[in-house]
Amino acid sequence: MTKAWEQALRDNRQSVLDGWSAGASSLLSGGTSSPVSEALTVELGRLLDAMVAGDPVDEPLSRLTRIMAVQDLPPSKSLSLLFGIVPLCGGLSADARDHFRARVEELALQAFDSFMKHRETIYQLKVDEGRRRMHMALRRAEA
Amino acid sequence: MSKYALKPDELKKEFEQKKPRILKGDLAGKEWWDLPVEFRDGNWCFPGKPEVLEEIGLPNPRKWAATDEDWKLPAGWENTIRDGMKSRLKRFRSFKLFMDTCVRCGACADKCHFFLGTGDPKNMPVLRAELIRSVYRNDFTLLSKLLKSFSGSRTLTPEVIKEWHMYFNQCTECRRCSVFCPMGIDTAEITMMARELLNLIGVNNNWILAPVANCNRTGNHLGIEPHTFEQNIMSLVDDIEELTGVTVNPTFNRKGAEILFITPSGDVFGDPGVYTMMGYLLLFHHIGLDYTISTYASEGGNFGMFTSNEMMKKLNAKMYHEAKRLGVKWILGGECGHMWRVVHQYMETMNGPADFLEEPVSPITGTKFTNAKSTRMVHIAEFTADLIKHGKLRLDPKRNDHLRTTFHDSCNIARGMGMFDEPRYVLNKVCNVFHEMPENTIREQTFCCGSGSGLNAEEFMDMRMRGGFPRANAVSYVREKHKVDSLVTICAIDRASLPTLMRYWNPGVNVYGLHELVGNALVMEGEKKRTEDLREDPMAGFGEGADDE
Ligand code: SF4
Ligand code: SF4
Repeated sequence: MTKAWEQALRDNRQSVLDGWSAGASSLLSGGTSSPVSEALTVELGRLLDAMVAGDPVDEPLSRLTRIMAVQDLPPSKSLSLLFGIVPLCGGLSADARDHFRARVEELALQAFDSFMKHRETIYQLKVDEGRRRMHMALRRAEA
Repeated sequence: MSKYALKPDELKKEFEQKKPRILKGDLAGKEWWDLPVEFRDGNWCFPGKPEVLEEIGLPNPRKWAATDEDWKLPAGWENTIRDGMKSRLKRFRSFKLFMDTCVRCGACADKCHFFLGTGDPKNMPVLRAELIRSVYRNDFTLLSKLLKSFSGSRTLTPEVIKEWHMYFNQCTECRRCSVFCPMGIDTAEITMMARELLNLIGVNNNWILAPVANCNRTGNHLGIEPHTFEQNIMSLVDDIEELTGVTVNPTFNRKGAEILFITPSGDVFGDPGVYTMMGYLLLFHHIGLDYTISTYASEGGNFGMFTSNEMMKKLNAKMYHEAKRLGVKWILGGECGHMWRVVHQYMETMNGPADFLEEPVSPITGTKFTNAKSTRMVHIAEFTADLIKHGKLRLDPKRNDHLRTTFHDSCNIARGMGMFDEPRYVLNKVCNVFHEMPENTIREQTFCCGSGSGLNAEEFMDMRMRGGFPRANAVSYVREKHKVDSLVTICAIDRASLPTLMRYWNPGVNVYGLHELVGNALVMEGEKKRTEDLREDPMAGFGEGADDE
């Protein structure tokens, strides 16, 4: 009997997470031994749990992409980390594997939006910082 | 040592491991310093504008960018660097000592926030220093001539300069690494030397040099003229009156005042610095302090420190000049980080002795600030802590009940001055909810905001978010555990840069100056009913219908 992908992930949570996070961390210049990769692992765990439970993934995905959005990596490479989970989820029927792959693809598209939102935040922060620095001058000008 | 620490032999292994991934093709089998340096958006600061360099007389003004292939270094730049290094090795014994004494124990390796946030091995303090040490060895030590390949030495090339520029501008001179170094090596001072050398050949940062030029011309970083400076403060006086019903009366350039007050100009122009300024004004009014503010020494900060010793000295000189001209007894300084590094560690030797000033004594409590005997300048946190200790302030900490606070130790105050307890003492007297961040991220082990030493340029945002990650992580810990929403600090650069860092990593956490909270809590004589804090945010339990205090 083959399992639904959710069940397969639940059964092998730790090993899937270890593999997923090792793959993701290898994209970072600090590798696996840094607070950044530690934070990445925490977020991947939250994401995994949300996926399995069928809960909304927005929050963990946003936290994950927030880390990736300031690394020295192009978006395509950053987000490739999501696909790292596909081969780790073994023992699935062809059908279940297709379902899983479709879910991950959906996730990647959602992650792209989220990643871009963080990049926009970075640009917004630049603008706002300039305004905060000139606070009194702007206040006078606007008065 | 923490779990991220690398043992000495692991250091080398670290590079070996990294090599296959980073050093591909042509670079295989080369030394660690051959790891390519790549400037791209977000990891470099714009260079000094030619007109800025001309204004302050710095060499090699030109248009260039770090991403250019050719940096248009001046003819003979190699000799300029070599001679510059030679003279500095002679003039600064610490520099020579730090070049010679590293035992490569690796204790500092994982202590730098830039290394922790980027994972880039060249951001390990030991290797950051090695970038310059390897040139030093090649050019200045006999030993290296004998053991060239063994000790790791190399010649000066434009690539080396690019690498210096990259990594000595990914060091905020925070000194966290030095706390852990058994040899007492202060990488911050090595960075200061490296930046001095780079400035000799026109490799620089506009975010640092523009404020230097402004400060040189008008006395403050933004280049604001005296009348505008005064106008700004007077409009804060109006705000105070509106909020509290109390009219405070600061004076400007008043001869014969007892105390000269100098604070970073961010407190006069920027958000949220201005709220801290309002706090100072309320405090001084509350105790009836005889003080004045100078519109000439209108900047506590000193970006000369990030440029060269000479520039630091020049910009700092106005503090004593103005104190002398106005005939004050001593100087009181506002909340700032690097300003205090300059004042506490260099001012007296650079521009002293200030024998025209008196040993500072609080006119309210009679306390002698013997620690400021040589500089004659007292830090506001000490001054206020002393006032509170002697029961001289009427405070209602409930007025800060809308804030759940934690405290960020600014690098220069904590590690540079050893001041940990005074700000905490004050904070605990003016608010009811305070939680410390984890032990290895506060006091002498505090993590930098990631934007210090003139690196809070907007174009450097990506790197700042990475360098500030360890600090943000610690805030996130107390946010999750204790619902902390207010990060209190006593540094102007923190007040400028931490709001940005928080908005990225910990949205919902706001940044406050310590004296802003003091200002909220002060019960002023003749005040009207307070319902809002200095930012005009509602206080908890003080709204319409709440009982009068
Ligand atoms: S002084 Fe601070 S930023 Fe510079 S190397 Fe040391 S820990 Fe890193
Ligand atoms: S700088 Fe100090 S802590 Fe770092 S490797 Fe050298 S001796 Fe060790």
